[in-house]
Formats: sequence, structure tokens, C-alpha cells
Amino acid sequence: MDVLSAYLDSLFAAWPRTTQVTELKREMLGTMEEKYEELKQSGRSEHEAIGIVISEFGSIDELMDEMGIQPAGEADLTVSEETVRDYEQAVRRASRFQAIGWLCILIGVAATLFIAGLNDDGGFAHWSDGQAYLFAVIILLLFVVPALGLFIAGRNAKGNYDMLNEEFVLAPGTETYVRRQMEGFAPLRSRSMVIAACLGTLSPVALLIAGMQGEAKTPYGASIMLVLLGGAVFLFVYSGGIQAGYQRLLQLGEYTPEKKEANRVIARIAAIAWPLAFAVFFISGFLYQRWDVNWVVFPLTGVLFAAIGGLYGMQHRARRKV
Amino acid sequence: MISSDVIRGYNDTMILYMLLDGESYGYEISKNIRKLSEEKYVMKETTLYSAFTRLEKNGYISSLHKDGETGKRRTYYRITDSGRAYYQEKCSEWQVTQEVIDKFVREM
Repeated sequence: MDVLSAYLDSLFAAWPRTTQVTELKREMLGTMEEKYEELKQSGRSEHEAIGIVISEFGSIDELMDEMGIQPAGEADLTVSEETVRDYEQAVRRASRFQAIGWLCILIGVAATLFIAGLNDDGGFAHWSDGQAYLFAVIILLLFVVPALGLFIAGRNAKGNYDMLNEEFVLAPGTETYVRRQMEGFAPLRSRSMVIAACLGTLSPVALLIAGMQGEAKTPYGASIMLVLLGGAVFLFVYSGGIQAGYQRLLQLGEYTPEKKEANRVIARIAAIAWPLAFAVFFISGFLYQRWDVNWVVFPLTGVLFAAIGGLYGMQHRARRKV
Repeated sequence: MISSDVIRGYNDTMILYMLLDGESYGYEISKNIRKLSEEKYVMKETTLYSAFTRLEKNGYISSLHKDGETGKRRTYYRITDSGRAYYQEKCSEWQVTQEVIDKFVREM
């Protein structure tokens, strides 16, 4: 009987899918179907029979209480509207910090390249190469150090919201607010993405044009390319960060309860694996001078992570199906 | 039809009674309760299965899966020794309850 089965499905929708619950549901469906068949044999119409079976079903809460089950919707943690608004502000601030940080780093590298180019052109004729080199490094540090500060500030801004990594529900009405905010942000986001993609694709053109002017001009082209890329990264990081914040609140995309569990596991492995990869990289580089091949550890670690994530996801889905 | 509030404390007793003479399964138990009460009491589905869960947790009944006549898998329940003892206890509790309540009942 599809109607009875659909009725049970709707009542059990909020229940966790454990073996015990599946068994109970199957058993209850059996009982209801038997009752339905007998009612029909005693001359009731299909509609009457279904009506009687459903009216004699009782209250699902009674069963939940007895089995000590909490409906999946009632997670232990409710996030208030105030927290959501604070988090929204924090995410915007953090995304801005991170985006500016990346822009600084790319501009810093661009400036260094530019100085190197100028030096080759004889722009620092009264300086020695060593002095020019020092100048380039100072300029680089002038950009990179504030960038690191911005990254740390960005992390701190978002640091007080660890509870969003756990299971939570939004306070009533708040979900609509978040959805509306996310929709309101969508046009800006898509515009940022288009501009970022254009900047990213156009950036090598600068290098090409500079290259055609002669080999000495290449560093200038490269630095212009990096500045353009910096703009692209800025837009990606800023709008991507805000979007991710909304997804995190709505528990979508990378932030569904299953994904969160997987991400927690992966984060634990990452805390060991990445430092290890760096150690291998530096030891093989400084001690064995194998800079030519040792960079392979990074893509390798990356691939390993994708594999672990995939395996974990597969295993998790399989377990949920049982 | 009796309100289920009044009878709540004795649903378990009724189910145990149905198992005194041998094992049975969900629908059969519910049908027999209805029949025995002369259609005056129908145990709701959720009440029945809550009771099974509770009784089994307390060790008053045990369950086993069997294939029924129609080839469908069914859970059969069987009363345990401590279930029989509990049933006895509830019966004497009802005796006292009935005696007490009777003292407050009169024709108007």
C-alpha cells in the first residue's frame, strides 16, 4: 500500500535512519497493511479502510519518547538571530582582510619583479647589485608582513564561531533572513566572479606584450600580470568568503552535516600531514639539494587528501544506507 | 470507546496477558485486545509499539523474527519469566486500585 507507506515515511522523516528505526517502521507498516486488508475484506471501501488505519495509528511523539529518540531537526544547539547577524559582519570583515592580504602579497611580488627589471635596465646605476637586492627584499617584506597580519586578523575575526562546525539549527525565522541576504548578495557575487575571471584570463596578455618589446621588458610584463592576478584573487577571496559564510549558516554545499563530519576528520589528518610535507620538502631541499623534484610532495599530499575525502564520503554514505 | 488516558497504566498488562498462552505478533495482539474488549478499546499503533519497546527493554518479553504464512518477515513476541512476575504484580495492583476507586463510585 503506497498511501500507508508514504504516510509512515512522512512521520518518520525526522527520525535518524538506524537499523532499529528501519526495523520498527517495517514492522508497523506490516501491521497497518494487515489491518487494511482485513477492513477491506469486511466490506469497507479503500478510502474508509485507509481512514480507519490512520485514525488508529496514534501519536508518533509517544513512540519517539519511548525509544529515546530526538527528532533530527531538534539539534542541541540553536543559533540566535543576533549571533547570525554578528557572524555575517565578522565574515565580511574576515573576507576583506584575507582578500587584501592576498592582494598585498601579489603586489609585493610584483614590486620585487619590477625592481629587478629596473635594476637590469640600469635604473639603479649608482647602486651595487647587493644594494638593489636588499631594496627589493625590503619592499617585498613591506607587503608580505602586513599581509600575514591581515591573515591572522581574518582568522581571529571568524574564530569565535566554532559552534557552526557542530550540529546546529537556526532560530525560527532566521533561515529566511539568511536566504534573503544570500540572494541579495548574489548579483554582486556573480559580477565579481565575471570580473575576476576576465582579469585572470587577460593577465598573461601583459606578459605577452612585454615579451614582444624585448626580453628586458619581461619583468615589467610579469609584474603587471601579477597585479591583475592580485585583483582577480581579491575578488575571488572576498566574494567567495562571504558566500561560504552564508552556506555555512544554511549548512549547504561544503557545510552539510555529513560534509562537516568529513571535514573535521580531514582537518585532523591535515594538522599532521601538511607539516610533514613541509618537513620533507625542506630536508630534501637543504640537506640533499633535491629542489628539482622535491616539490612533488605538495601535489602528492593534495591528491592524497582528495582520495581520503572521497573514501570517507563513500564509506559514510554506505553506512547511512544500512 | 474508552479514553486512552484512563487505561494508560495497563496497556503493558493487556499485552502481557495476550502472550500468557504463547507467542504472538503485533497485529494479532492488537486485534485480540479489540475483540476481548468487545470493541470498546482499540490500542493505537504507536501505543502498541512503544509498549513492545518498553517491555523488551525491561526484559518482560523477548522478540524473534519469523517468516509468516504470507512469506512476510514478522516479529514475534514471547513473555519471559520476569514478565509473568510483573504481570502478577500488575494484577494485584489493579485489585487494590479497583477496591479503592469502587469506594468512590455510587449510583446517582
